[in-house]
Amino acid sequence: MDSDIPELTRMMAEGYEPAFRNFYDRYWSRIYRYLLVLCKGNEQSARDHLQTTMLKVARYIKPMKDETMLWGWLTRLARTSVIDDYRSKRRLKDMVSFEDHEFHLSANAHQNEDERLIEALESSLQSLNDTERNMVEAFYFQEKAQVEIARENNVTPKSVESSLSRIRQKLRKLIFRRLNS
Amino acid sequence: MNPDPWKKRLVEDLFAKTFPEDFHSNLVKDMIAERQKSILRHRWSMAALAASILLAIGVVLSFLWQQSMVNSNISTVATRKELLQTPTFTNVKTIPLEPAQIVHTRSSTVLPPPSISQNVFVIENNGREFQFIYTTLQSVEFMTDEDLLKFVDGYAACLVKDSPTTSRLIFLDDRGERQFFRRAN
Repeated sequence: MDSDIPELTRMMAEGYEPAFRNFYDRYWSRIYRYLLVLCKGNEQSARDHLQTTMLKVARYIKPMKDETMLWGWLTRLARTSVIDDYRSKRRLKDMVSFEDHEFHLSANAHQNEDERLIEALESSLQSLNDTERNMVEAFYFQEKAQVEIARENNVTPKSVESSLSRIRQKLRKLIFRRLNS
Repeated sequence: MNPDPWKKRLVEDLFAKTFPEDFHSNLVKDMIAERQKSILRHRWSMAALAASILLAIGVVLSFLWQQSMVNSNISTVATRKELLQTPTFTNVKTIPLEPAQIVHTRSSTVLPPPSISQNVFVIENNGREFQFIYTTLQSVEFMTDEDLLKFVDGYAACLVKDSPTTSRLIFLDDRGERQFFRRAN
């Protein structure tokens, strides 16, 4: 998948529309999670910076030789967006500290976005009750279908879907709280 | 650290489904539009750069051309012996003048200082008579209908048209000698 980065970025630089859709589908979620960490779980802020970052990508994209180079550039754009916002608003208390997240462009500063989220997730999972945790593990760890989980728990698949949705919402809140602490 | 894949998938799921429905499609459209604008801006700036470069080249070439014209005129004088041809002018007379005698011009009258010697050159060509007054000062007055082309490095010069396509550039050097050079128009 990484091997097509030069071609993908070259086509984007030439303004080829399908390349933008391909790029977006591949990277938006990862950039967003990275921004969530930087913005200490502030969803609205992360969403705004996702837009800014993506527009900067469109404006400045050049052919890149590999995934590492591309991701390094993307995280730099994302960090710059957050830093610019911070400078303009001067709201240090809402922002993650620059030092904590190595805003200066160190080589591996951009590798940790999922690690931070997963750390927060792991501690958040501890806050779920047994039923909730079992349902999460059945669906995500054991990769059971919702119908199967419903049968095992004598409930309807619709009920499982609602429960999972509620649990995800709860986990999100817990994670944001941990990111912000 | 490699996180468990299922936790990674869970994290992705947690944050992927919180966006308004058209958020992503609108953002992709905005990206494409932004790229088109960027490409257009780039092309304009490249065109402006190319135009600037062409303009600069034009200015330089124009300057070099002017310089080469000046140099070619100078080199014509410098290599006049090489270009010397048998003069077709006949009946050349040199008439010494007294310092205060005359200096007539069509536009003004100049009375040079007595210490400056002058000569009047009268040249006949095919029945037409051309008269020059030559001074050691770097000035020359023509008493003919021909136009002074230039006065270079002590040489008076006059263009005499023999035909629509040929002409002669006549130089008078500082020893009163005449030189004739054929020159294509």
